[in-house]
Amino acid sequence: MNDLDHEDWLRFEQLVLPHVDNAFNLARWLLRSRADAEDVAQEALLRVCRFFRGFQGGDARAWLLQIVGNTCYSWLEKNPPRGLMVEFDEELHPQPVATPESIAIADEGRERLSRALETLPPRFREVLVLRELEGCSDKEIAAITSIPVGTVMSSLSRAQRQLYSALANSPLKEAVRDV
Amino acid sequence: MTCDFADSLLQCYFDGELSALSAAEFERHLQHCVDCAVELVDLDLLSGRLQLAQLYEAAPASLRKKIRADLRSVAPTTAIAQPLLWHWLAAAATLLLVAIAGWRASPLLRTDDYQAELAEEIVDAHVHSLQPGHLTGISSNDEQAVKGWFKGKLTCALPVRDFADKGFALQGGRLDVVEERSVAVLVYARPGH
Repeated sequence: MNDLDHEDWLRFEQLVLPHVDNAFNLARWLLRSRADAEDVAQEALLRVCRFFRGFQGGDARAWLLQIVGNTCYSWLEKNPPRGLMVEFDEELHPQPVATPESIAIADEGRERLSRALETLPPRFREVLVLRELEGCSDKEIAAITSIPVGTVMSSLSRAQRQLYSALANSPLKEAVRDV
Repeated sequence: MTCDFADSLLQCYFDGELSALSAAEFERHLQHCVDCAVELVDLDLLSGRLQLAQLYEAAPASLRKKIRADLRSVAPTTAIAQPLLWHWLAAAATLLLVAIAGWRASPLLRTDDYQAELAEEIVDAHVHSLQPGHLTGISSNDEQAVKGWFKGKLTCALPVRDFADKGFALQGGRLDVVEERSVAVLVYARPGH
């Protein structure tokens, strides 16, 4: 590894450090934990820094997010999600048995949306976060996730669909958990 | 989407425009119709009340702090690889930081936080300098040579003195960056260190 000289440091500070929020946000939604996200974002930033010499310009945010994503996935492999958080399975929930009251009157808050998002598989969470929270284009998402553009589009619509279903399901699940 | 209700009634129901009777009827239907249930949540989302964007979570201050601290210690992987000479030299050198005021922040800004951050930056720069090859930008005990090296790199002329006779032998100088400005650092060595 090469040391960064002062110019590299300055470049790094200008190009990469402004995207710490983006890095953290993506990690937080991929890992579903703020504490873990902090660790992983930190690790990803370090990695980017380590290889910064090789960075010839281009979209530093996309590059950072790509490394954050990869770091998250290897973290998830080493630390498989455990316990309460059951991932949403289309097969298991073919019929959202939501009551109209629960849908129409249900709290529309952040909390409910956040819970719904967290039930999606990581890949779906990733594309949704990149699109809706980061405002990335299909092409940017493809670059960040290393998924072909066509697949990004279908992943997005499937992810959206699942999110809606998860939302429709969430009041019911809550009820079941309370019993 | 195959449900007839979805087109006709759903939007009205969502907007609260149905009569109590029709609404009740539609709600009965909704209990069995997946399409309508999903569509209703769709509408909810589209209406802007449930936007994902509101889930954005900014990085906590603690993360920024950790990253700043980390960044300066990235290079030690090389320091570990070839430690002896430079470690010894680095440890041996007693460094005097002469921060030439390229920065002149108003005294009002100098709160405790400001002082702490400034101290952190200077310490970071110092730690960075302990990595191999970073101790000096110019290695010389010649006052004029060191002074000349700083010329053009700073906004003011820097007096360079060698205090070898008083126990501080000039080793050279380098530029650090503090508060995003270049500051001059003179490096001296203590005998026996």
